[in-house]
Amino acid sequence: MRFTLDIQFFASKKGVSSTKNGRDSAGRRLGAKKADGEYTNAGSIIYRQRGTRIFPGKNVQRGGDDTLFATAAGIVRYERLGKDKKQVSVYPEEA
Amino acid sequence: MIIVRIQEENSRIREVIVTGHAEADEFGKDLVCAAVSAITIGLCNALDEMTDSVGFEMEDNRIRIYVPVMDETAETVLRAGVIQLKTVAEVYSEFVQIINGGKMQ
Repeated sequence: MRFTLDIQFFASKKGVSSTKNGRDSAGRRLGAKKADGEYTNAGSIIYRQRGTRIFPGKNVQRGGDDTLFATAAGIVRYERLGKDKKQVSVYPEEA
Repeated sequence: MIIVRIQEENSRIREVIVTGHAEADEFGKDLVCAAVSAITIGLCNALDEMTDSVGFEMEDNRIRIYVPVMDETAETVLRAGVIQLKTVAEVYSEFVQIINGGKMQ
């Protein structure tokens, strides 16, 4: 499972002695969810990130947590943006 | 108090944010917290495995689930999760509150 269950996730940690460490939040599994040249549907998540390591290009939008998702179906392309940045676009396939 | 905030658009769920502490009992014995934690984290895993168009934010005592673009499966699974949270809130209204509407994050 992607998210590990912490059965006391919504409990108040007040009064918990410091010896009760060792809890960690679930791994974020960031990174690319769609590879270059891969087909994607509209609404699919392409890239999970914190901050904009990769910028949204054509037919791609950025969510509240900087996740990039497709706004149209098509082929995913990772491209250079300026000197040292990268962007990801989705190019609809010609009918 | 755990707050479950549900944001809908055209009667489709676009965002669910669960925040707070149940404070029904001390840490490790809080049954209300256990119920909400199991439902919410289970819901995240179900959405993650059954659809790839849902975003998640998970921090201490805060989980946000959002649907950037309408998705039939996400709507069905999210609706089922919300009903389960309402089932808990109905009995433990002192510790869990459901809020519909308000501004999307």
